Amino acid sequence: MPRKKKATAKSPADAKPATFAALLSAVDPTAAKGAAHLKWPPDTFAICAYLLHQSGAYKDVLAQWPPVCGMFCKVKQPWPNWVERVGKAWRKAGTTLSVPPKEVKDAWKQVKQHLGLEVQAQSDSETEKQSRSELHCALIALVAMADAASAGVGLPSKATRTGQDMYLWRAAVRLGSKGGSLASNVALQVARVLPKLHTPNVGITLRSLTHHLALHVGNDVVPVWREVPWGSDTDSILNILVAPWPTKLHPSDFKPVRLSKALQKRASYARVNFERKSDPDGLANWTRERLEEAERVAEKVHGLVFPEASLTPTEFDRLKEVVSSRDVFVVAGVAVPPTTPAGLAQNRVRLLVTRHGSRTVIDQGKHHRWKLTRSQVEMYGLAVSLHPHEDWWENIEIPQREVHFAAFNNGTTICCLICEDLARMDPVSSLVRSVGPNLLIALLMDGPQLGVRWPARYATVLAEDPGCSVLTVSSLGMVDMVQPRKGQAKSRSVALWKDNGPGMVEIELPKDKDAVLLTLYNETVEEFSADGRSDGKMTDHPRLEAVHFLGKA
Amino acid sequence: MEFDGQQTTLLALLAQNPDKNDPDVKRILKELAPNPQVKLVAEVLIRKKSSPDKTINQAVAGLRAWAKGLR
Repeated sequence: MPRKKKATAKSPADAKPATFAALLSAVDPTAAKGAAHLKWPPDTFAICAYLLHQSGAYKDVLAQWPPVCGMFCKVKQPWPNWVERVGKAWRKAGTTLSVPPKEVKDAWKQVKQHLGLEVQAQSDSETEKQSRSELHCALIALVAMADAASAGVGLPSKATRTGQDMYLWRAAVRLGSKGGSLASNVALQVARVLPKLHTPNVGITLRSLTHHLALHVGNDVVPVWREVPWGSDTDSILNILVAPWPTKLHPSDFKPVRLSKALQKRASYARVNFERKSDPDGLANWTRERLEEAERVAEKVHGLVFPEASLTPTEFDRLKEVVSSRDVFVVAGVAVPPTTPAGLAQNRVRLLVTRHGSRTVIDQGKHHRWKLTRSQVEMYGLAVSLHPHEDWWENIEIPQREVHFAAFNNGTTICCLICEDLARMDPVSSLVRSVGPNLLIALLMDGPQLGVRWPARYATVLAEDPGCSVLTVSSLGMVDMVQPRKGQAKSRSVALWKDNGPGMVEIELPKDKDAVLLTLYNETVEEFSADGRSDGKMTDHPRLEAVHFLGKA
Repeated sequence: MEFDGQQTTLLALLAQNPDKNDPDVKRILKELAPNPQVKLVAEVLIRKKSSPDKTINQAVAGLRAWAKGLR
C-alpha cells in the first residue's frame, strides 16, 4: 500500500494571498451574487468602504482624478455634480428600498469584474494596473455616491421629525435599533456605518472621502447614536452652565479599598474608591441658585455640565427634579459606589434631556481606570489617606465600552468622554475621529485646566483632526486640592475650551465665583472631501463667544 | 414614565410613521417587544387610539410632542 504523504503544517505566512472577493465575502457573503445591498446606499457604502479600508486603496483617490477608467470615461459632467446627481436619484430610490440608478449598478458591475485581484499588488503589468485602477475608482465612486445620497442622516431635521423624508426616517430606525448601524446587511462584528459630522481637510485616509457616512471596524468599543429632537432648528446659540461641583473635596474622600489579608498578600497593586458624602439638598440649592442667576444673564440656559464623579446617584436623581420644569440637557459624571465592601464602583457619564416634562437618560461607563501615581498622590495632597509609595488603581468596573453620540435639532452632536478616555487614544479615538462629533465634552477629576497640561494636548489633537470643539471640565474641589509647586500661583481654571481655530481658552474662576456660563455659537463652515465634493455647508463648528462668571464662593 | 435613549428614539419614530405594514415599523416593534410596558405604548401609537391606562396616554402624548420636536 502506498504510504500516505504526511501533511506538512503551513505557516500563516504561506497562506494564499487574500483577494477582494475574500474580503467581500467577509463583509457581505450575499453581495457577490445578489444586488440587495444596492437598494440601501449605506449597505453599499459598508461594503465598498470596508474593501477600501482593508486594502488601503483609498489612497488612490487623487492619483488620477477625476477617474477616466472603465465606465467613468463616459462621464461628461464635473465629478462633484455627477456624484451629486446620482446620489440624489439613489436617495429617492432608497426611500422605498427600490431599484438603484443605472450608474450605481454599472459601478458595482465594474467592481465585480475585478474581485479576483489580490488585495496587495502582485505585478507591475499594465493589465493588472489597469484592472486595479478600475476597481479602486469604482469603489471610491460608490462610496462617494452613497455619501451624497445620505446627506443629513442621523441629524434630527424637521423633515425626519414630521416623517416627510423617508430616507432619513429609515436611517433613524436603523441607528435606533440594536447595534446602531446605518447598514442593515453587514454583520456588526465586521463593520458599522455611522453618521459623520466632520471631514478632515489634510492628509488622505478613508475619512477624507466622505461628509455624511463613517465606517467603524472593530468591536472593542461600541458606538451608540441617538437623535435627540431637542432644541430649535434655528438656535445657533447654546448657553452652557459649567457647574464645577463639588466646590470642596477632602483627601479622605479617596478611600483605600480594604482587601482581605489573603488577597492583600497576593495583590501587587492597591485600589482606591472615590466616595464623598452625598448632599442632595446642598446640590439642589446650589444648582437652583446658579441656574436662576444664569437665566438672569442669558434668556435661556440650554445645558448644564457637571464634572467626572461629581454626583452620587441620589444627587443625580435630585438634579432631575431641579431641572424637570425646564427644557435642558445635563451632562453629569455620576459615581456609583460598590454594592459590597470588596465590589467595584462605577464611574459613569449621564446625559439627561428634558423636554415638555418628559425626559430621557443616556448612560455611558468609563473605559479606563485612573492610576494614581506617587506624583499625583503628592500633587493632590492625598498622602494622608493613600500611601505615596503605592500605585493606586481606581476601583471601578470597566463595562462593555460604548461611546454615545447625541444629535440635537440645532446641528450640535455631543459626545462625552470621562477623563482617562480622553487621554488614552485606544480604543476610542479612531471612532471619535471617524464620526467627528462637533462638540466633545470631557468630564475630568483633575487639576486646573491649563493650556500646558495634558487635557489641552489631547483636546488639541481632536480639534485639529477631525475638527471637534472640545470642552474639558473639572470640579472646583479637585482643582483646589492641587498643591502648587514653589513659585507657582494657585489656579482656579475649572474648564478649558479648544476648537479648530487658533489658541485655546482657559476658564479661570475669579476668587468670589464658583460657576460659569459659556455661550457657544454654531458657525457653519463648508468642508470638502478629498474627491473635491462640498458638504453644502452642513457642518457646524461651535465657537466660544462669551464667558460669564456666576455665584459667590 | 421614563424611557431610555433607544426606547425614546424608536417610539418617537413610530409616532411619525405608524404604518404597521412597513418593514421598518416591524423592525421597531421587534426591538421594543421585550419590555411589556414599552410594547403597550408602541401598540397605542400604532392603533392611534387611546388606552384605558392614563399613564400610557400621557407617555404617548409626550412622545408625539417629542417626535414633532415642537418647542
